[in-house]
Amino acid sequence: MADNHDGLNGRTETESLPPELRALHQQILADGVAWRAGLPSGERVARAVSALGDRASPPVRPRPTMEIAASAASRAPSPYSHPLSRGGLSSLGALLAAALVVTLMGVLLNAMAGHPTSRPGAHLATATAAATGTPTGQWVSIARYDSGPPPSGLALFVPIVASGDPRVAYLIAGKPDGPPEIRRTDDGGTTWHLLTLPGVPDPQVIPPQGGYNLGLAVSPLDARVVFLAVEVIQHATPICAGGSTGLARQGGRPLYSSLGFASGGGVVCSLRSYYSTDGGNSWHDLRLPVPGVLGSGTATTDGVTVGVVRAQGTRLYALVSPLQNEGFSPPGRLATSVDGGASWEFIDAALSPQSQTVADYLPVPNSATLFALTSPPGYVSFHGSSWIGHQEVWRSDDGGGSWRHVGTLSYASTPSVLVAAIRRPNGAQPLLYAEPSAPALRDVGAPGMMPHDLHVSADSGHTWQAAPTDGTPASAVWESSVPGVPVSERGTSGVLADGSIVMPFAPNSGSGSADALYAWKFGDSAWHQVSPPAGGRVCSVLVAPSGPGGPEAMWVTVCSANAVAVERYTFGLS
Amino acid sequence: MPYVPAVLRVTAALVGTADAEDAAQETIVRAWQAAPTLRDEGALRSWLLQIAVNLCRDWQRGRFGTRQRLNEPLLASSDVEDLALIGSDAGTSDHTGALDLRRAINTLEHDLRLVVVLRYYAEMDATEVGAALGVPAATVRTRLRRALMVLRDRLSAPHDLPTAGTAEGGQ
Repeated sequence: MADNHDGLNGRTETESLPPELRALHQQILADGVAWRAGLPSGERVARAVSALGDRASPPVRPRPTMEIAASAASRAPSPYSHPLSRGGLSSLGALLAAALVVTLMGVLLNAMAGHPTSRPGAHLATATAAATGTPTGQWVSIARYDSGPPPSGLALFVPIVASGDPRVAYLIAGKPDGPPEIRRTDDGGTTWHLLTLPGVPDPQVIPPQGGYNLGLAVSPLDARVVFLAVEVIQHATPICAGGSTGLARQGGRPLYSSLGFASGGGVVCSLRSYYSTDGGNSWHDLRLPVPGVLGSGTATTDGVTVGVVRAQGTRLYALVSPLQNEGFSPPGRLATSVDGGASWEFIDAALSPQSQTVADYLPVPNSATLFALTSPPGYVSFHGSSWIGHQEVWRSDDGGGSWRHVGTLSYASTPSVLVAAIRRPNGAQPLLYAEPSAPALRDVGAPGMMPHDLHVSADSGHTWQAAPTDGTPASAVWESSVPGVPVSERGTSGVLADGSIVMPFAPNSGSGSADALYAWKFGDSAWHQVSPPAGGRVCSVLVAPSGPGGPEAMWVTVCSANAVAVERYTFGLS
Repeated sequence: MPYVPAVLRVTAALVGTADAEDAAQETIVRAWQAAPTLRDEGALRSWLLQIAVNLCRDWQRGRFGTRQRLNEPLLASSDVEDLALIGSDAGTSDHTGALDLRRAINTLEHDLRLVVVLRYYAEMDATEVGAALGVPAATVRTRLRRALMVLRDRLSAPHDLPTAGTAEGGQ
């Protein structure tokens, strides 16, 4: 057992303790030794390390000065388009060696650029900054969800606000010792309705280590159209990852998959997808082309996540994660629904022969154009997020009927997400924004330790340029974004009517400082602040377009220790 | 690579043995991504463990999806992370009363439990724990001492142990 030197007067840790505590100290040390003897072997970690070792080094991008950046941007593609040389590393030792090499490279590059601690400079200096001055509007508090009534006593999760009607929100919550439940508000949080869940066993008969997981998504076209996945666990969760897949069928159509079987027989895990058109008051089986769940990024041992549902006209699009013998197959397939979400069909058949799985997609508004981001097989599984390799960009101009390859996102150590696809006037190529970091990878280490960044393509994904970071606060920690999730823990960006991307940054440094919204659009050389600080840390952003319902407004959720608030900022208000 | 077991110990201690390998794997990936930010190669182990601790705390804050398992304590707050409960899933010592010991540890106030778990089970020293938590090593030693005193009192009257999940400190 380890008894560390305590660094004080040459005494051991035990010796530095009062005599009456030494025996207990030794007892816990001994228990720690026994506990560690029962830990997993780490074989899977070793495999992940090997996968990493196949890449020579982590992503590193040069940090040029403003002048260098402008010219570099014009003569060289983005860092995405320069594959790193492969060094054939196959061990973590090699990985770390590569890391150190890259570290030295980074130091050298910084020194050469004269910016020893700077963030990347302006990479697109093609137009003057669109400074707007100090925003004069005010945030208006719409709703607040906390431990007070109602829903009293529930563990708090970020509400999912319907973009079709932001007064409607759904909240997955649970009591400290009970199963999760879903509540809906139709009046911005004033009153809540407890929804009856389909396919859920009586909590009284759930075994001690069983239970169920819930995943929820709301249609962007109709606040009362809800998609729900229920994963029932009748045994300890890890067992769900094993065993073979069984399918329950009804009328020849697969209804749900069982993810595992108990050693003595009997299903221990199952997953079933549902659909509601009345805000969750009643539920129907969701008709997917194959058994699975609407969404992506699902892992075998980690429950269900219902992903983003996006709209184009009256069509809905979503990723589907099929269930396979070893559980989910992340990231998924691309499907569409023309009946409001009741049934779905795949539209990625042309991509499947390429052995690609769809990692993300975006419809261009008011068109039939879709972009898809695909990944090859072979990823490091962790919530579907830690995939290593490159991604392909595809385009369809007929709603997914046919696809053509338009580009490659290499250097992506994690899957990129498509932040926005923006239709431009006069038939110009749509703008496509992407961010090379998965939502699960934010908040790594110290603030600013791993700044994420935004890339834009003006030629439909052939070439990419990095957005500037000028104009954002020095303390800004770039968070990744998933558009189309209007108010959830994952959505941290929005798109204004003029095509600007909106992201939250804290104008003032210091922990707990409130975020303001900043905007940038293709051609601008810097970001500009478009709102005063909101009430706290912004977890998500929804931009509501102007129209009969009112002017363009930005909705955010503000997360604090014990509450989540929804606030609205309308341009022009004072 | 000598640090993988250390990372695995941290993740197992903080998120539980079932998820330990996933979290360790993610730690390695993140370290790989963030390698350009590592300025002092001598601090590699400490840096890796810090990433692991941060990742696990994020994990326990539920930042990896809108979901919650029934067989894990639900959080009272989205910004307060819970810790895995050290239990009989991994090895138990021959000490009589080992389970009582773990039960007592699991009911410690959050800050105290965190340093106990990292020091005794993840086998980090006070300096490493301090670096990972952003507090001086002396603070870690003080918390450890305070934790030992609380544990001693509770173990002397085990029938008074509160139930895990309703521990003091607002877990």
